[in-house]
Amino acid sequence: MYNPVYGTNRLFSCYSPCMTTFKLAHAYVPFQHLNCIYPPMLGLESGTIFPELNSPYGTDPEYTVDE
Amino acid sequence: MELEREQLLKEIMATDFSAFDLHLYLDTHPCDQRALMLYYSYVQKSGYLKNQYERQYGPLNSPRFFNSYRWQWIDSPWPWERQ
Repeated sequence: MYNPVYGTNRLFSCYSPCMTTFKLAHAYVPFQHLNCIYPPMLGLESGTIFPELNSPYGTDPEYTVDE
Repeated sequence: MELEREQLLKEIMATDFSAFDLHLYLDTHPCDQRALMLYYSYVQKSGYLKNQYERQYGPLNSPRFFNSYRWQWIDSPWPWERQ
């Protein structure tokens, strides 16, 4: 039987054979550093005061679903 | 006059937004001296603008300054009274 607890069952590993040679995906988020910021009015209009975070929906086709 | 009032309100909104966005940044960067300075300068500016607004047009939120003679909250035009 499949036993999900690691190391407790020698016959049926909790990893399937095809997964053993590859590492699983790791998510990471680069740490933000303060550069320049928008003046208040532009920040309010953009929804952020950080230029590096300003990515309006629809400008990058890769991240636009309905077009 | 109405235009000036709106302009001042928008400036207050924009300043508060900048302060709040820096607030979020500081949650993950609590020792960033530049961000701290910017944050305090925006908080200060916001206070200054709010005082200026309230001197000219009446209370923004429920009154921050107590007036024992009159409840000034009802003196500003209500949204349906503005042209």
